[in-house]
Amino acid sequence: MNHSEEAVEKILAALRKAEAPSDMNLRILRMLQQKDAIHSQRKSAPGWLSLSGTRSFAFGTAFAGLFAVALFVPALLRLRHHPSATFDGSTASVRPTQAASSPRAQVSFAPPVHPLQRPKSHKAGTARREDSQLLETTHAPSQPAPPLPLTEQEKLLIDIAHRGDPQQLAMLNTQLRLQEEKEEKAEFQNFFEPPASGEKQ
Amino acid sequence: MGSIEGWSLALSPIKEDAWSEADLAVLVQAYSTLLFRVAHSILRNPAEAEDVVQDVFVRVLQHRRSLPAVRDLRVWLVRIAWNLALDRTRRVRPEQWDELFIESLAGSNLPADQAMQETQRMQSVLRELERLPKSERHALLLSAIDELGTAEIAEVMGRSESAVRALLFRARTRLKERLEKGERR
Repeated sequence: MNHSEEAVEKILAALRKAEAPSDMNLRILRMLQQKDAIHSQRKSAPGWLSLSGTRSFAFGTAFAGLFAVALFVPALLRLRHHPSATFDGSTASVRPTQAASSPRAQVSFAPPVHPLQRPKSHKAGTARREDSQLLETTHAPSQPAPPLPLTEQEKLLIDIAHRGDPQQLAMLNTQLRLQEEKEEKAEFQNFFEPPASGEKQ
Repeated sequence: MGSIEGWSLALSPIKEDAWSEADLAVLVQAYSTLLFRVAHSILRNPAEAEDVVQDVFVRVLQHRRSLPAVRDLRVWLVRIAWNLALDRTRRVRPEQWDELFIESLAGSNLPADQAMQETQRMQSVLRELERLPKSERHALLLSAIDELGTAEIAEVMGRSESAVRALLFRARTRLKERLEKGERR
């Protein structure tokens, strides 16, 4: 047997004779006792506490549902408050004095309040907030921007079109206008500059 | 061991509630050393091997309902320990414990130069052992455990007895060849 074989046998013998730590069994038993105690506690606990398998899935689903409802309810409440702030043709009233004083007509969307009827404080606060929001939207620049005012030339063109004068309309045609200018020029020349042969005559 | 086997067979009519701490203590007492050796042969570290043994008994506790259906409790436990130890090698490389393991083997009465040679030789043996094909290595390591016969090794490995014998022969031959080649260099 050479050295290598000896070494192999030595290692295999060491593995064969490996001794477990003396207190290993005690440690294992203590740990098992703890595990068993935990297990028995779980068994004695009410059923709904021991979440396993389908039960945990069911609780998870229920929790998710509750969470969704908790998110949905405030949104619903907000939606329920919203219609009171929307425009209602029957309650809208235009204040003539204000409309006259400012170029933009100020529209009040607040419902008419009876002088004797005192609105509740939180309701009034909500209404005021809503009014200010509506005013902000009213005063905000409109989208798209209003058209620019017409230039003088555009105004003249519209005037011509509205009158329907054929001569003026014809003048809008460039070719016709050039032709007429040519003729006028020729007439002018004929009138002021008589032919040289005539003078000689 | 016979009494333990008998006890395991007697488990079948016993209900789960009847599984007392004393039974578990008997089980730990009977098998912990064997399971420790099985785990240690793979991991080569006592602390890691002890963890594996603990895990084995935790499994026993968890699966006590199915214990009556276990045909051979001894092989069943060895197989659990074996698989848990193999699983542990994915996280813990046994090579890192080799130095400590060899230190525990080296004779203290040898001269320094001989002790060094011995250490190097053992290191190369462990290195070549790790380089062996998986099934050959497993057969060799399991065969190192005295308590396990070829039939039990075959059952743990899921092979036939003849296949285990062939694996053992090949493992030893290959290891010898490789070590001799290494010495010649």
